[in-house]
Amino acid sequence: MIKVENLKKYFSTGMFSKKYVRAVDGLSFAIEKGETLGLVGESGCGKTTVGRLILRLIEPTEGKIFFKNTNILELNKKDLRKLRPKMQIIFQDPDSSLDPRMKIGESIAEPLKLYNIVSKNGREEKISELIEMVGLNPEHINRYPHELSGGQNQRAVIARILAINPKFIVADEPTSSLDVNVQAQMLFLLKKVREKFGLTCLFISHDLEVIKVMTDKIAVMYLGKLVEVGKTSDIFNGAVHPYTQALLSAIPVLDPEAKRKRIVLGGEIPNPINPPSGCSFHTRCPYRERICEIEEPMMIDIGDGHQVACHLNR
Amino acid sequence: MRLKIVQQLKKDKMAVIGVIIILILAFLAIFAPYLSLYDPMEVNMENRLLTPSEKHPLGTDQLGRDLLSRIVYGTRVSIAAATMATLMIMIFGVTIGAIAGYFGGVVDQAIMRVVDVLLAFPSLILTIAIAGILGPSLMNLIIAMTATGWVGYSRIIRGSVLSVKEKEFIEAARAMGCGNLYIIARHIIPNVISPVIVIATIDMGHTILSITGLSFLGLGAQPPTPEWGAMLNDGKSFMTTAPHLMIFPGLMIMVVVLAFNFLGDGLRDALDPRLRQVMMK
Repeated sequence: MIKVENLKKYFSTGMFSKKYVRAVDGLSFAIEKGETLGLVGESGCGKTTVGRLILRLIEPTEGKIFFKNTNILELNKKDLRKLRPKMQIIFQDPDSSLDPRMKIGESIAEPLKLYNIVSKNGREEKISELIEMVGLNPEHINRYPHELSGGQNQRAVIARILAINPKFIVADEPTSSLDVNVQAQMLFLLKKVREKFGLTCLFISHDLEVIKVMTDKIAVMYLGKLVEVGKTSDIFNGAVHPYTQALLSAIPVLDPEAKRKRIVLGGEIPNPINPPSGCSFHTRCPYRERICEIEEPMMIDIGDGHQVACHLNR
Repeated sequence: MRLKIVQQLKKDKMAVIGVIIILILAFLAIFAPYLSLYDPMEVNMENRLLTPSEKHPLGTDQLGRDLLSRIVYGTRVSIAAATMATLMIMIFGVTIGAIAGYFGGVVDQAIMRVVDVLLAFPSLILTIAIAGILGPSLMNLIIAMTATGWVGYSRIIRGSVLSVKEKEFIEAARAMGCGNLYIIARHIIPNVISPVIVIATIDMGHTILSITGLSFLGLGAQPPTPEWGAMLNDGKSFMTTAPHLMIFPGLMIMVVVLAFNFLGDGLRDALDPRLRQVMMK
């Protein structure tokens, strides 16, 4: 349903000598209909940029993005606007995702009006139906976003999105700004609507536990590139790339007796203006060899759709 | 935020006085036909240049027209003209500023350079020049004032738009498939308009002063329209023999401008410090 090929986004910086921040540097992946792909990575690795690129909220430098066999980067303005309602996004900060001057009900009514989904008379009914589905009370319809909590606002955002029956949703860390108990409710809600509407999702998060319960497939991103892609269960049970292994080892475990080997990565994530030569992870990799500094590893399929870009797995 | 401003204003005595005067003037303007004793245009050469008396509380002018009636009607003209000028300045300033801020890039650069040029030019001289080219009439004066007055508003709006357009609800609206003009009208402007409304109130006194001043110079309202500035101009030939012709319209102008300045100062104090800085210029 969604297919991304060699997607690149360079942001230019510097006034006199042009330098480029390689936020997204040659990404390729696919999401099947009804599937949820989790995009994982550290802060600043380009996850959010990928989400916005796929919806063409920002223009990529290079690459192809297919939505049901149409390359959305080739669409003109008019056709793109026709396609827009099929693809929606949930942002990280629910409080700024709603117009502060609009009541919740007005925000939900907006897409209904825009696309004339239900007749004028049926609108109110549709709004209360949506409100109920996402677990808000009817009284919230006449409230402003600043009068509601983050969790309630996020529910309103979901109601607003569901109003236009999207097929594909990018969820950009939808729970990371919420309290832990609210997070769980929100994930439950997302799972519910995903099943009910048969949604295809790109779920962006740095929280591996959230990813584990929410996704079918995982793509691990490091410095604008994918390092490992595979089924969620395969990756949690047998991550191959040293970076994925390090990420997984950082998940807290409840049992204090449990023995676990914590892989602690040294150093900081390198500057994407000057990415390291060869494998971009080699500066922090505990297993690096000479070849890692020279040659960039290719994505290799190691069976059952599990792909990894590492010289140590040839 | 609006409630807070009102509460702050209530504490400010000068602002309250300003509001009361403005309300009285608005009342005068609306009910002018019922409040004036004579037709402000009615010429009566037998009663010319009368001093204030019971029949004519403020006297009559050189054509025997009742001065009180003319001043009451003048409220209508002056306040209507100032309101219209302010509204037009706001509409132009806000629209252009919002377009510059939202689209950015070349559009923004082009608009902001025009703004810079206009701001670097003495606006009164430009207004006089434009009004002179268009020909003297109240409407042309308003157009001339709009042509020079929008720049300040554009600058303020552009700044606010630059911060609002980065908010996620704007991106969400784009993802919904909303067009740019729809987003500007429905999401951007409602979120940046309130400081502008406040600034417009503060500028109101200045606008009235400009209109009466330019009318005094003969660029605005033309005789026999009962406009305060034009009345001052009429009266200046009789300054020594019938000073009331200049004193009363002059007093009215002073009172109105003072009232709006009191309200404006109060509003500025009631506002958040960020806006206070913007208006310090």
